[in-house]
Amino acid sequence: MGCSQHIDATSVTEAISILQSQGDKAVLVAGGTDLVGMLNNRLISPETLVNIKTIPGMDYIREYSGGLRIGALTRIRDIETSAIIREYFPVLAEAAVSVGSPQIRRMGTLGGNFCQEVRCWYYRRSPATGKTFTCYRKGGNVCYATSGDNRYHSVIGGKKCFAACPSDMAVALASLHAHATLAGASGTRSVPVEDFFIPLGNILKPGEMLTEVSIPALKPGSRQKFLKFRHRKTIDFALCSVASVLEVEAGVVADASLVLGGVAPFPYRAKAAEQVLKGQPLTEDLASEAGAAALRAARPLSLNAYKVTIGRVLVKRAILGVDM
Amino acid sequence: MSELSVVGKNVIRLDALEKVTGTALYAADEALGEPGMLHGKVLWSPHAHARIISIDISRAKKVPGVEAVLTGKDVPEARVGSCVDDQHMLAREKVRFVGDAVAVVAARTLEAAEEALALIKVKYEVLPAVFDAEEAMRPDCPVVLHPGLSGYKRNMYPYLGNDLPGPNVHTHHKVRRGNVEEGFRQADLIVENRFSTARISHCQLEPASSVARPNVDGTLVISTSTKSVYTGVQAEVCRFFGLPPSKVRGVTHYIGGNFGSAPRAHIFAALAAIRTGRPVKVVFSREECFFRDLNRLPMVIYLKDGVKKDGTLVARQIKLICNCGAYAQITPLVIRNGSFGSSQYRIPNFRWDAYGVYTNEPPSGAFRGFGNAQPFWAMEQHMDIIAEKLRMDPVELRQKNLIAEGEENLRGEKTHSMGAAECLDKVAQWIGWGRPTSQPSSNTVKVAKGFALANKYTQVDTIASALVRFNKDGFVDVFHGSDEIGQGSQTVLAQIAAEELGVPVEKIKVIWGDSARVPYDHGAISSRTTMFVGNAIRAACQDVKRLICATASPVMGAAPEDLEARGGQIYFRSNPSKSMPVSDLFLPGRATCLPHDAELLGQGTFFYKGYSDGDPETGQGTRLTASYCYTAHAVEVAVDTETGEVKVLRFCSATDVGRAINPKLCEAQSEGGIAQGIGSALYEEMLLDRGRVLNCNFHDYGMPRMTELPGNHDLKCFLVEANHREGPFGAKGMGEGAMTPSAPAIANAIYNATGVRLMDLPMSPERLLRALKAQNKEAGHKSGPL
Repeated sequence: MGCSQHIDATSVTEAISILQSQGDKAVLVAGGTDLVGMLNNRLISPETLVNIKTIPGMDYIREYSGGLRIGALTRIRDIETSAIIREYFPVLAEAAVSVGSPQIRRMGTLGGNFCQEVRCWYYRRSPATGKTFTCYRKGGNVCYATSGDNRYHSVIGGKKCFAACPSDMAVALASLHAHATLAGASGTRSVPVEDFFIPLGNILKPGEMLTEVSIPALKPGSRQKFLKFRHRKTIDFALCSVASVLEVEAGVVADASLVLGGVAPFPYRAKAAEQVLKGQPLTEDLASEAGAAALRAARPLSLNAYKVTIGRVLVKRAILGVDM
Repeated sequence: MSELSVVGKNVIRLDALEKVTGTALYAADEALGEPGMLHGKVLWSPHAHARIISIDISRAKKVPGVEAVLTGKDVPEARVGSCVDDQHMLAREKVRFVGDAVAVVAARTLEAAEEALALIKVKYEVLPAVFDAEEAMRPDCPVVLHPGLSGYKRNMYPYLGNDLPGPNVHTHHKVRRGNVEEGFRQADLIVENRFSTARISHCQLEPASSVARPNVDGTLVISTSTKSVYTGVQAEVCRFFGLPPSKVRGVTHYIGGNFGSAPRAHIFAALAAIRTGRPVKVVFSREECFFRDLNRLPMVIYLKDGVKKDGTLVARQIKLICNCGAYAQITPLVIRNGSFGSSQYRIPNFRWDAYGVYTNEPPSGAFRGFGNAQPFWAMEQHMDIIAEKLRMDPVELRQKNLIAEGEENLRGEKTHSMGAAECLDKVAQWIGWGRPTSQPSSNTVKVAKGFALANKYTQVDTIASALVRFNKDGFVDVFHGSDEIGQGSQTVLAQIAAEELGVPVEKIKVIWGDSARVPYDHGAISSRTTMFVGNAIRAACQDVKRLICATASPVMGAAPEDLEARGGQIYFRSNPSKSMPVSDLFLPGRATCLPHDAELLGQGTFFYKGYSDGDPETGQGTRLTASYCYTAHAVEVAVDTETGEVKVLRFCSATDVGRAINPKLCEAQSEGGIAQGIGSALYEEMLLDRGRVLNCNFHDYGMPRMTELPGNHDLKCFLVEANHREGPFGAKGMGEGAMTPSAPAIANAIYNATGVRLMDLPMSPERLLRALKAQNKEAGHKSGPL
């Protein structure tokens, strides 16, 4: 792998100071389920690996005034099995169990799930194949997917890069209006989860790291659903996913939060669909209408229009609480 | 025949203990930490088609630890190949696909080899490329991959090079029977469609690995993962490098799956070993396997069928355009042998034209089914289309047209060992054909059943030899040249020897995998090991029994023909209660017996004397195949019409194996075939962008996982035993047929569920949604005028 240094960080402050002093020559590693593949394929060649697993106290699921704080080092498996998450935020537990495989969920962390790289096969291409693609994401000036095979790419919000955001956790957490806490040398800041992701990566500045995700209190009795469509039922990333959180009072949708994954470079909040639902009696027709509204902004590439069709169906089914 | 005691029993695999304890050796285990060993790495072409202007290796050679940097000028002048000699081991003037080999580096460490590889500077002039076989086939195609094709040497079936319609066509295979025009005139119904299949990868678990060691006596010892230690290693290396067989020794260990893949890492290892005089190891990465393994040949299939009102097939015409990639490799044979499958039905008028076409894609080759699964994809959907149009039951339509025992098939062969009808009945009964589905359809999820019947021949023109040594402790060593590629052949062969000798299978030791130590065999290909090697071993066992009786004759005071050797004893035929242990023949001091520690050796060879090559113009012959294994698949699927997702709910196979030597192993082959068949039907396709494989890893490539396969009570594999008179105890080959009917069976079920017929593989959600949309549109048009 060619890394010359491996540092076990003992505090967030230490990790940040290493990131600050070494710039992009240092990267953080926790579960490593994505990073090791990146290193093997030489997508990154850092000089220093900063192990943050050794930072105490970053692995927690904690209640606070009706909401929840989850440490960035919390493993996906712990989110999947947390009694409190299963009871109050089932959409998050459903998203967690859909991630990768049991092995990956036991290694991978919440922070890593956010910070993992996209699955675009042009970007990921291994040097063992003879030639790689220098795309926008790698500092080039072209997206090979737009003129190539883009069946798994974004239908909404692509800009320069059209790879889809691979994080399932972010989709569920965005539907719960969660915020991500970013720590840097000058303190911390908090951003809505869906704003963490941008087409060429995320908003982390050099020397910043993700430390926590917080979920605000939720009215009890909300209807939550996470649906994920993929080619095979395990391990694969979402071709399209939907997290929906609805407050329904006497058959009428009082509030709705709908976020789609796999269709955009970020968790896509389907605001138009939320508006369609709010204040209306929850019926199958309304759910279909919301499905159509959710994908109205879609501008599919040459090979991925099917994602729009599937997205509409998923939104409808998630609203109705139907399983795949 | 007396009752069988070992054949037909579920003997535990001989390799089970080694494999579950992790002690089994594979090719990659070879030479670990061996002093002086070099690591070989290959530089692949990044372009689909380009002229090599220059190669600068000066910087690469200076990397510490690098012992050799070899390019096209270091390889033999002559082109090499399997059927057509169309390739230099390392590209000389041109590269023709992304993955064409350009240079080999051998270095003391893998890191040094990789560093050197990156420092080789190749200047290319990029040329226009062609990827579509129908485009490449046109006589006026502006891209010509091999302008020298007509002068290339053909090693096998040279007649396949006749009547080529375009400069990129290397193979034209013809079958003619009756007169199809006349047949179509007689037909009451004509059905005509275009089908296509995808390029798919074997995905055997073990990536190619090879070590080549130059011995001080001038012998090159090559240890590699291949399916045939003689033909795949020794013969090939001899031909490629102009060496005599005595100078090349092929060695194999256990092989982690094969399915027809032929990555030939050993050619690069051998090249570097010859040039450096040092052992060289080459291990391919998974990515490299994807473009070097010789994937399954994609075909475009134009099928036209003529049928009478009562369902009698009267004419079938097939045109196949095969995208062979940049080099012919074994594809001319795949194309020729892919034609055998169609002989399962009685078709008086038949015309087959299959074309092998060069394109700038990675070369294809053998893949479980060897060219038969692709035409079946079309033919077995057509049987359902015809049945529906004639309002016939599709089981009945097939039964009606099945060729019968003793009948001459459309290639001129006399049909024998025909279990297809029973296979069809078995799967139809298990799936509950004509009865309700296991779960009802809903508004959005449609449940239905479908099935298909197919077969796979076993190659006739090969040979197998075996040696048997009967030891004084009653153990028996069996030596043969076929490889263990995971299918369990060693266990089956031990059972055949045990049965023939009447000894417990625990007393049989099977030795294989070294051309210096075991007799010749053509290899673990074409579902031939059980029949060919099994027969050779059986003959060798009979030979050693004769020797035992002859040796015992003077001791026991009886003529050899009055004695019988069985179970380690020698009996009087007239009085079986009187016997002598075979081990007594080894007793020292009995001058009439074997001299001290001498051996009891038997040998046997099996081949077909009367096989025929087939007429080049008509494909007709009397004995073109050794046997046919028939396989029927029936499946129940749930199709989500809103998302295009297809779930396989239940799956049943019935396979005519002649006789199951080891039923559990036959079932395991069937189950593996079903998994691979489901993959080929619904998920698998090598996706290429301008010749580059995009999904060349197990994450992006769609092999089914356990979650995509039915299990427990939803999966059933029947074995049918239409004994083959030439097979050992009636057995015939079965492994390759195991996935040939899967894709059309699933397509037929999807049609029955949705009314949508998919003619391109794989049947992905994208394709299904598009077809459903078109169907809705059409329905909309139909109701439009109202």
